[in-house]
Amino acid sequence: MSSVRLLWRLTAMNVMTTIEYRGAFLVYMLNNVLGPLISLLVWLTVSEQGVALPYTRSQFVTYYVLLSVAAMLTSTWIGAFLVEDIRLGNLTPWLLRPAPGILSYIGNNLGEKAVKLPLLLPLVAIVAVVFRHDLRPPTDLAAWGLFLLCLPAAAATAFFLDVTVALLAFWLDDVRGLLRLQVLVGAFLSGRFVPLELFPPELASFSLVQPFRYTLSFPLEVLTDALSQRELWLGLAAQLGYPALLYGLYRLLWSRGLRRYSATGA
Amino acid sequence: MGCTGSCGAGDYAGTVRPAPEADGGGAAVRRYARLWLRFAATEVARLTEYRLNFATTVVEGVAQTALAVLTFVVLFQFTDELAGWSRMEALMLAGCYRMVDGVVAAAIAPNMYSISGYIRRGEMDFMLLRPVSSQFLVSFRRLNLPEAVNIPIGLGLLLYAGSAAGVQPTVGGILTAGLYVLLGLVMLYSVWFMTVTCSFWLVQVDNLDALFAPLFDAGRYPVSFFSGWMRALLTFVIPVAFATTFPVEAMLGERDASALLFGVPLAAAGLLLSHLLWNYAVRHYSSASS
Repeated sequence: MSSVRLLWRLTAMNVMTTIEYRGAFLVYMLNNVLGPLISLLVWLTVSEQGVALPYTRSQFVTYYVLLSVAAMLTSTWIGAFLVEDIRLGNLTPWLLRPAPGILSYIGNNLGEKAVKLPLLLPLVAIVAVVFRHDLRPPTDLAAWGLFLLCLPAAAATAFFLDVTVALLAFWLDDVRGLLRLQVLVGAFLSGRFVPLELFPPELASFSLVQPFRYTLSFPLEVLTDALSQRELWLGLAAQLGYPALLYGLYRLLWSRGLRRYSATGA
Repeated sequence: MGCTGSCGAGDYAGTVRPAPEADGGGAAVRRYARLWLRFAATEVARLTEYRLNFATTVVEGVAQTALAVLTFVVLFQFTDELAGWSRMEALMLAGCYRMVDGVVAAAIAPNMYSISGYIRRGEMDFMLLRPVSSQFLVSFRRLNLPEAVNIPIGLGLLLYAGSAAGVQPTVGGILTAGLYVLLGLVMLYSVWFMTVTCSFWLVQVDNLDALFAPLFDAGRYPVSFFSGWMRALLTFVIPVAFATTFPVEAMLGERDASALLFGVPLAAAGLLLSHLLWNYAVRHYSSASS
């Protein structure tokens, strides 16, 4: 129970710090909107050529508008910070406290997102207004319910995936390159550029099972795609299974890694 | 090459503003070229200390190329031609983009990401004290040389896709393409530099440089993939068209040199504007020590 209270305090603290830098975060949010917008415009060109596509014009618009919000809510940036904390010994203060060290990183993640959301929504609203004729937000309440269930699970998947890679810093000298590679490949395989459903058939079976699908794409698919019952249940199992698996992996790497951790004053 | 006397700030101790160039234009160019080589030399020395970083940058460059190819594979699985571009022509553009990205990431981006920090931490004092143009110093002091591997990687893709597309570029076409890339780089630099110069006023916004990234990313697609306002934006305001689309079109023989007619004045105006804005901004700098 005290962990929950601590997490609440840490989140509130991060909200306050983030508000101080709201200008910088507004710039990040602008980026968050521009990226999907560029992908959307490219796909609209493809669909305007009269090419037969699995997605209609309004499906593309709906997908990318929802994506710009969902991508922020499931985003993670902690890896690079965690690596530096391990390398420079800044982990030490957290090891002395009677609470799991990961809480400060979770608090940072939640706190920043709480400030980013009100900055992001007006920008997404502008895009939505520009494309209002093609925007078809799903009206199925059950789909929205599933989406809201899957989104935190996707955020947890992304977060613990990031943490797991970063924890390799206990063993390796420089994992920053690995983290950047993960971001690069992850952006593609999570459907940020191209909806996974449009991947070529040779990649389809792979794209369905790999973890990055469950960091962003799957909640969107629940909302916008017509998934069959079978696909839905399998996907839901993976959506809940991946974060559980990655959490276990984090616990393992964390306890093993701490035995190797050495820092001044530790 | 050496940093004899004239490079040290000591000669000008007491003067806060950079000294004006007393010597002729040619000598100034030689002096700045020598200085830049000096920056590169220190970077090479640093690089040898971080060999793993070099290896990961190579892997990253290859991965980025693969993902760009994959993006076009996905786009072109539904059609053989998009807005007048065939699959292989689009891959040529992806190669060109990678090369330009290599130059930008190696020589321009590390500086643009540093400027707001100089201002926030008061380090700009040291830049202004030195007896060279402060704009030159903050724009070119830093290099991230491993990123230059993107140039051969991109060239490889460009040559492969070009030969697969059966392109036989003329010497004139290649020269024109080179000129477009050069203009594109000057324009990209100017726009980006002007954006980060605003950090003098927006000290809290330490990431103005980041605003530029997604729009530069749009350069991986031909501008004809966009329509209306977005195409105009990418041609004139964030001029990635000059850096990627126009050069490839020139190599394909689909674009003559006539766009140079407005490209050269546009680039010159951008450079001049960036210089005027910088000089104006420096006057607003509240230094950390003076």
